Amino acid sequence: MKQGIITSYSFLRLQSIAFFFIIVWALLIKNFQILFVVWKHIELVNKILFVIYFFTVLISVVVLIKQIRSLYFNDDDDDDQNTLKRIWVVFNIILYYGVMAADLYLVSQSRL
Amino acid sequence: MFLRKILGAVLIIGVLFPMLFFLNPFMWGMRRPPEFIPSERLEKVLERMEKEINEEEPVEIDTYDNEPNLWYLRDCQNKTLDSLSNLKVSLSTIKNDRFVKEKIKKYAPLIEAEIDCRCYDSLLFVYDLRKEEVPSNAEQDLAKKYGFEKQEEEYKRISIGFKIRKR
Repeated sequence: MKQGIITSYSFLRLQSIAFFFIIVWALLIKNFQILFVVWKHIELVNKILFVIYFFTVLISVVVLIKQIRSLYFNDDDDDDQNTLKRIWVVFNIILYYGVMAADLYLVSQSRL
Repeated sequence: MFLRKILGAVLIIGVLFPMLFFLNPFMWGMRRPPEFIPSERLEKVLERMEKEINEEEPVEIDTYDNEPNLWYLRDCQNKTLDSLSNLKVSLSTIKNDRFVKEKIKKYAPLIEAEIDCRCYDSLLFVYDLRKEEVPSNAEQDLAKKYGFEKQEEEYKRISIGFKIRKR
């Protein structure tokens, strides 16, 4: 079966790292707000990050659905090879929830 | 095979469903309420003051009516404020003016000591003083005759301020 780049291991890894980074940044802002306040441009940075993360989430919706389609709705691939990928996609979906929460948290910290 | 497809459908719904919340612009505006949140120690002092006044008459002490919110405090820390504002402590309606004034004088330095942030100019106590006037009999009769309800209670707003720091 032809494996697309979107379901390759390296892409899944990249996706997880990107999601993880977004969550870690939001947690940093949340827990060390005092440190960030010292730097006066942090509000602007967070506003820009909100927009970037916003589009990241929108793109990742399409990517996740494509991944699910090719991993779960494909009849002609063997099971053993793709079980790990299927679990990984579920893991990424959980991270994706975290990313959405992080994005909403970031925007709640800026005055629009 | 069939189970896998069901699981896939559930996952797709799981991916799409949160978009209902995420694409809702009202969610982007979600923020901390613009309300002054007193520190725990300040709250304890206020509680003690409330308790002490409550021995004489029921009263409620609030600090919600304060301008300083999250942004005010942040701007203060970044030193981008033009002017500092007051910390306003509002008490509910009060009858015994002298007693409360005594208590305020007693507690003002304590409250001042608990405000450790440098973002306040002065401390302000605000309360309504209730003046009870008993209308005379003739007045009452007249009011009854014409169906008037004479307002028996008058409120007088009183503010007491303490300077915390010089600008």
